[in-house]
Amino acid sequence: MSKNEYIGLKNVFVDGGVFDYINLDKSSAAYEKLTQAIDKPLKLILFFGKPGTGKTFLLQKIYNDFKKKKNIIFFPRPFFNEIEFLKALYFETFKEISPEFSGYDQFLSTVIEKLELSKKHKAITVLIDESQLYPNELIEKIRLLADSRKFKFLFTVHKTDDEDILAKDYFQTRIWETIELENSSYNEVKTYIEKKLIFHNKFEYLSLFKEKHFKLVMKLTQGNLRTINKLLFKLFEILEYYDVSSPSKINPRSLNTKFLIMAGISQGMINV
Amino acid sequence: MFSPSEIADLEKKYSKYYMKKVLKLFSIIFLSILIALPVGYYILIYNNTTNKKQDKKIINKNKNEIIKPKVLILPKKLYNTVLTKESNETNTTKKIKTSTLHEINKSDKNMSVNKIVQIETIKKKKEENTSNLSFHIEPSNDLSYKTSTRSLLKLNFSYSNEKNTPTKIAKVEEKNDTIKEVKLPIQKVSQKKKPRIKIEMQDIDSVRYLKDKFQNTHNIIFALMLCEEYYSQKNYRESLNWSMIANDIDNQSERSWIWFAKSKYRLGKPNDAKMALKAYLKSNESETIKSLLKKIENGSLDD
Repeated sequence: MSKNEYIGLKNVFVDGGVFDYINLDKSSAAYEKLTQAIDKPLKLILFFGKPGTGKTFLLQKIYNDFKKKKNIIFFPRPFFNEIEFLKALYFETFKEISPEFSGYDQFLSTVIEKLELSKKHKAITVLIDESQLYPNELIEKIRLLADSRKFKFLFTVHKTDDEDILAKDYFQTRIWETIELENSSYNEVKTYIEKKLIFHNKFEYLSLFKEKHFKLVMKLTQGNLRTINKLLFKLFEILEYYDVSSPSKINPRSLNTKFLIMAGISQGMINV
Repeated sequence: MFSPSEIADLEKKYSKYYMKKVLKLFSIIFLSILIALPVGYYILIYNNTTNKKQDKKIINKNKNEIIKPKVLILPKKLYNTVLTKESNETNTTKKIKTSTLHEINKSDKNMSVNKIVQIETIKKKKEENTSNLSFHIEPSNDLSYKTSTRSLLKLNFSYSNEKNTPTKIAKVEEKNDTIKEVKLPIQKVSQKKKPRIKIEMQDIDSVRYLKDKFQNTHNIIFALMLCEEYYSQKNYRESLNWSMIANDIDNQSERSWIWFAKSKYRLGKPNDAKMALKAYLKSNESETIKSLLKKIENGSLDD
């Protein structure tokens, strides 16, 4: 195998580098729930799950699928300032540069007037990723925007073991629907890796991974897709090195578990 | 791409990880063996002990089956008394009178046994391939037994390899009169061995025996038996004493009143005897007492 092949394989697993949405059972179910929730006359939807479970990818897919059919806006990066957020929202809504606003009230009156003139009566869906990073005041303003019925917001939040996001004040009473995305199962991990290779036309490497490798990947990553990407990226980076410096140590048709363990050690998934 | 030093470091860490894993595996195996050995040893010992206990139980059970006392009734001298007219004992005495020799299992309380024959198994050495049985005839508690001395009969059985029937008939010659046939239950011992019987006789002081029994049990039966015993020895004072002891235990005992009256009569106090019997008849109905009273009044008491 040439050095370039391992580089190509490595790049398949660059996290967030390429939008290659892999349809898994759990993500299919979440996708269905999300699309149904968007169609309902809800003001706020909460979509949460542990980091790396594929929330962003799912939001991205929803945005891609509906951007031409519905009034839908996607904010993949968080805003820390109210004015910046309002300007960005204005731009995405009317596809024109936002005027200067003194504050939330002026923005709301301007937007309502403009929407009525353009005869857009249906609420605009705003997908907000990394909501946990937004300041509380801004979250409160977003809630007020939802009350105007001109916007509906889908908050995507990281769920951690220490923090109960649903217990937060601003989510406690106002969220009308919650959807959770859990870690992948063993079969989903297997499917994820295989589909990734297929998606990127790396068919000949499907046989590289055996059951024991999938099991080890599952054990090390707990089914977290982002962690899988990191682990496999490191794996192919290591193989890339051996392919260049000592090619006799690697077999292109069979993966030595040692390299997977080395990748795990390198990523801090295995403590020595 | 990784640099050679990074890969060298990773390989080093991998070796360390691998060694740890191997050590962990060996530790688990070693610990498992450490735990399994004493547990296995304990189970082995426990099983052996249990098996031994079970063997012992089986042996004891077998022993018990063999040693279990067989009581034979040997009619030697039957006693004809007023007391034997009473229901249970009367029946038993009748049996005794008519029977040749038969075996029953009864406790001392029944007091219906004339003589007790115990079979003992004497465990013999295996290499000898023979076994012995002993019969002991001990004094019975029965009131119907009249003699002043009791006999102890020992029957020692030793078996040869000859064929045996399930029961053996032994002929026992009594001191005084007849030859009795004894059916001996030997089926639980080796069936192939023929018993040889030795008979030994010993005399026992019946008064001492009855007193010991009474001290141990405080049973009215032994007190009444002592009345009878002393009365038969013409020791009417002792007979009177024991009738009062018996009456203390149970003042409704008809026999205690009978022995009291008869002893008083023999001691030359027929009035006391009559008063006692009349006092008993005031609150009780008894043909025996009435008959005795009549005899005393007539002065015709023979026995």
